[in-house]
Amino acid sequence: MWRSIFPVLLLSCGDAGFDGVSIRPTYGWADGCTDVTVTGRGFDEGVGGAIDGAPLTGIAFPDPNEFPLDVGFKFTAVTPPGEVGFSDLEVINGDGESATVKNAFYYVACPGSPNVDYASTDAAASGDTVSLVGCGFSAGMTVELVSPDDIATTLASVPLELACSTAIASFAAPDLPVGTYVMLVTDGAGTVLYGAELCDSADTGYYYCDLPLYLTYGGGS
Amino acid sequence: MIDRLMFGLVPLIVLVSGVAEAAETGDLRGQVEDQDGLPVPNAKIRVEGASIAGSVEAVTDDEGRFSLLGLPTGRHTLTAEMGGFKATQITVTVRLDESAFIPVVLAAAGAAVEIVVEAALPVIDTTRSAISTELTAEQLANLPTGRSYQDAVNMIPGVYGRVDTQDGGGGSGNPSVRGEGSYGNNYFVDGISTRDPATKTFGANVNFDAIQSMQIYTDGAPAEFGEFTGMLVNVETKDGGDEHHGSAAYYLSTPATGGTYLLLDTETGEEVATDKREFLNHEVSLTLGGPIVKEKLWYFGSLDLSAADAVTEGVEYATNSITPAGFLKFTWFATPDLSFAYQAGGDLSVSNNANADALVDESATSDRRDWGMSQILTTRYRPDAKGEVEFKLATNTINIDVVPASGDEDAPQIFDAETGIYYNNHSDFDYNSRWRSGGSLKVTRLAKGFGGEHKIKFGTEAFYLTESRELVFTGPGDGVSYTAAPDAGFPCTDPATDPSDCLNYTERTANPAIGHTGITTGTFLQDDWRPIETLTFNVGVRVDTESLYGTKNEDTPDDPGGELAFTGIMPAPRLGMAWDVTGDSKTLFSVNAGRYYDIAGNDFAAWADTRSSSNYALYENDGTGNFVNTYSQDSVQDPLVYCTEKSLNDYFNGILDADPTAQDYVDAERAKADKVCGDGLKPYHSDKIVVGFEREVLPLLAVGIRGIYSETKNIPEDVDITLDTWVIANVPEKERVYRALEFTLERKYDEVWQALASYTLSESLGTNPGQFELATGGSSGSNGNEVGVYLDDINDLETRAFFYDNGYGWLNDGLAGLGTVYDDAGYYGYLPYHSFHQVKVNGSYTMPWGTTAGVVYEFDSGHAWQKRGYVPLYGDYFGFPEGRGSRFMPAAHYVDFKIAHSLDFKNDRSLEVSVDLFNLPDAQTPIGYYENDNESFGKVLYRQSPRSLRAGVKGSF
Repeated sequence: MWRSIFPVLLLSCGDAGFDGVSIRPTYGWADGCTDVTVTGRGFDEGVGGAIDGAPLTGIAFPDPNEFPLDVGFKFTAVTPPGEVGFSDLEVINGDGESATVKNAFYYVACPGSPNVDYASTDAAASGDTVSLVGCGFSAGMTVELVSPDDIATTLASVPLELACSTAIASFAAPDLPVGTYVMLVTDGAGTVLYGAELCDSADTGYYYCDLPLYLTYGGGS
Repeated sequence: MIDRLMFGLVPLIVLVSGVAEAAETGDLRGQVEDQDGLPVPNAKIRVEGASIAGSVEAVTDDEGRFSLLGLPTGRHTLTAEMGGFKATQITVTVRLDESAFIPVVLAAAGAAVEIVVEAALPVIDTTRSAISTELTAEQLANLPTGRSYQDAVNMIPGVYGRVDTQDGGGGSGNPSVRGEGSYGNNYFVDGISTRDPATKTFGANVNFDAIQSMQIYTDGAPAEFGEFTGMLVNVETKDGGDEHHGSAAYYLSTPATGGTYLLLDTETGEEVATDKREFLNHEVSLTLGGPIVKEKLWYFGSLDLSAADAVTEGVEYATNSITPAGFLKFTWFATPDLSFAYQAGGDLSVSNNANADALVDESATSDRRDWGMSQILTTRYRPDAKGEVEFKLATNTINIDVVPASGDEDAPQIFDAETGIYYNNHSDFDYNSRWRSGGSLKVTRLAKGFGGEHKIKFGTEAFYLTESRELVFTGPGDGVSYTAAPDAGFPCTDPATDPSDCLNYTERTANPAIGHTGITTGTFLQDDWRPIETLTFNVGVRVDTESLYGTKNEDTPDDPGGELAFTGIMPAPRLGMAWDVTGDSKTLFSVNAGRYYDIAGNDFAAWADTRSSSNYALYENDGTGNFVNTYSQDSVQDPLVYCTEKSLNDYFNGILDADPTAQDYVDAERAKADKVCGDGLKPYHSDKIVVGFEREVLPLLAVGIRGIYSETKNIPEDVDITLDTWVIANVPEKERVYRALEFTLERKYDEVWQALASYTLSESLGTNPGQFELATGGSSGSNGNEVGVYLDDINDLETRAFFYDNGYGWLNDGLAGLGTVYDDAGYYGYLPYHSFHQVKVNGSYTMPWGTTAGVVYEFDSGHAWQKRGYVPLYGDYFGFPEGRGSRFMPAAHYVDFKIAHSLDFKNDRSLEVSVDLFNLPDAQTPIGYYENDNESFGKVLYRQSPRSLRAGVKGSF
């Protein structure tokens, strides 16, 4: 209460609500779907946020029982898709109070189509949902599971479904014997778009070199 | 010339039959009227008192007015005489640095007896726009406060001193005032700064029973005072006087200073042990003063002897300390116009097991010897009561010496990696020495003409400041520390004779002493100009200069010390207006605006001097008992570069000297440096404005309201222009802002009761708490006078984008929280130098039968703190993921109570028995949380000091 009165008393124009608002990480793919944590002070239970006007989704607050000191100081969310470059972050409390942080978040152009950062799991059983997280996914793409020793022979092929924008795609793990397999992303017509062999390409650059995506089927339990 | 200019301005209507000698003084002025309200010219005014050698006299002018300059503080008798009128005697009180208006009414003759009046002295000095509060020895004797002036100042409105905002825990005697930290205050004793030249915290102590009075300025101090941005304390010591007086006292106290609950295990976050230190302190205090030759030669002496045992919880051995402190002053009135005073104060503190800690075995403790001494020689020339010339020579020194408690300087240190405990001697021993020596000249004159009455004061001063530090290592191979890891098979049982079963050892070799020197000067001219009786303009300007040098060590040719590192010129105007609204000295409206510079201090020179005082090497056991040198560090490194022409030239010429083909590189780097440096490095300063209104509503009782706003700018920071070149520049983004609304109630002490109450609504914001950078106490981070981490994040959008686009976004994130201009986190927020709501109520009441009750109460709504994030690049918790000052401590109450009874005997002799209770309700509110973002985040690091007691008996005559 005093913080609203005090600036008036002193003929000041100090803000009354949010302080220290920031977002981590400060960057993500332009495809969106990056898990971010917004920290600061003054967040109420109705808080929402937007990047360049597009709302953050999946807003969640810290468990007050586990992290009582973090209540009101942070929330987690998922970024929307955006234009490549710097974007502004806006947070809006339930009462309409808002704050904007200029150039808070940077949307990075997707370096490949697709580009896989990681798989949601490296161990699965038949029927489990496996997600590939990255950018540049599109409808019609498939995942082919191959042996690490023979990537030319496809053991199973399953369609990818977009789970979050074009940044997360998922598939149901097919029936395969116990063992470790490599996942290759193809265009659905057999052309490998993302997979182990691209790592040898001299002009892909170190940072965009595809990582081998392994999926291991366990022996039971 | 000065004499003609200053002393020729007014007719010599003043007679002097004695000299009022006091290091610090106040003024009296007044008007004599008859019963019909007509002025009485040529009336004779005489002021006498025990602290005045003889008397001070004046004669009223045509308007019946008189002025008396530079009177000793305290109570005196003013006598007004005029033929045809009854003589009138008035008891008056002179307050330090203040000017009191005394109206005198002479009754027509008719009776031969004098009329004696107890003056209802105005509470408000309506000629001053400065905000200050006087605390006298009489007042303090009735209030529950620690026996130091540093404790007493916590009662002043706006002083935030109950917590240590720099290092955490309870108050350290260096409060934060008006949004400036513990480094921002200056501490004068009898008009001479005693501040530590390196840390800028308080320096030499003053025996509590040697204090006559103190004036504490929080806002609008006149140009006479410089080198501070927060608070200025001016302590006046006692004089001998023409009457013998003295006291003997004994105090037994049980303070739990520190009173901390320190987490020892920050890895697990468990509050495994407390670090509360409980003391049993005995103190004997003696004072004696009086005339050796009446009206010619006075003496005053004070001796204070205290002995304390401090027991730390969880530690089997105690710290024992003994501290004798003395003060001696002689005052010689050579002629009626000329006096000399010499004073010397010193203390010695000897502490055994000084670093008693649960993680330090008694065999590894150290003994500490601290000693300090201050001397002032004052020459005062007072040709009349309207002018004086004062010349002071002074020297202050502070010394710290740490030696091994065991006395065995050959024993190597052992660190037990399993328990985290140090055994078998301390690895290094420090010797620190700081000096502040110089002098000041001040000329004061009351004058009429040029549009009204003037009190003109001119002064100049120069001081030489030094600090030096030397590590003294002991044991074989200089400073050797072995590590035991029994579980890993390295028990390190006897490193002195056979170290082969130790995990590793470190060796540090001491370099010769390093140090830094500085020369400061200050010159001021101020005028309290009264164009009309009810309006005073306090106009002044002050110019300080500072030159800082490293100390060249001739033994090491590569030593980069010895150079002039920084020169600052600091012009500071001070303007004020005081309006006696009702014309009866009972209502004051004041406005004061001014600039306040502080010197950078010797630590600023040390900042760019990265020479540490030792070299370091690590030797690891290869498993067979042989040690292999795996890491070495040479202490003489490239210094940081100041944004001064000389420093930049030296640096870049040095590169060319080493590599003459590097001209293109140097040109490019120099261009970058010039861009960052702009016009060069400037001293930082605070601009303050205060608007106040004060009204005496009852005799001796005034209420007031004031608004304060201050901004601190030009704060320096080290800025990287390349990965290996850093320059110290003024960073525009760094600033501090403070604003407050303050309500006060003050009832002046009249030997029966006193009260000083205040409510301060304030906020303190900024980009960095310290002169450079400061943690909010107790966790990692550097202190307010040293280099920190700030604005090291990458702010250039193009560079940031490059990093994101090329896979280095993690680097941007790793530095985030150090202050980008693109998000709030770490960039700007609440500083720990205020609580939004601060209430203080201090007062005492003396019953007719001699019993006195006193109380000191403070409510603190809680200072700012924050979560500090880990910054991988620096390997420490320097980031502010939620923004600086995003959280606030819980509210705390401080209640101290005193009860005393005085038995009065004949001839002004008395015996007083007193009990002081500090933290009466034994409140244990947290005053510091663990801030680092790990498992311990939010744990209590410090609490209020527990309840403690001081009982005393004091005889006086």
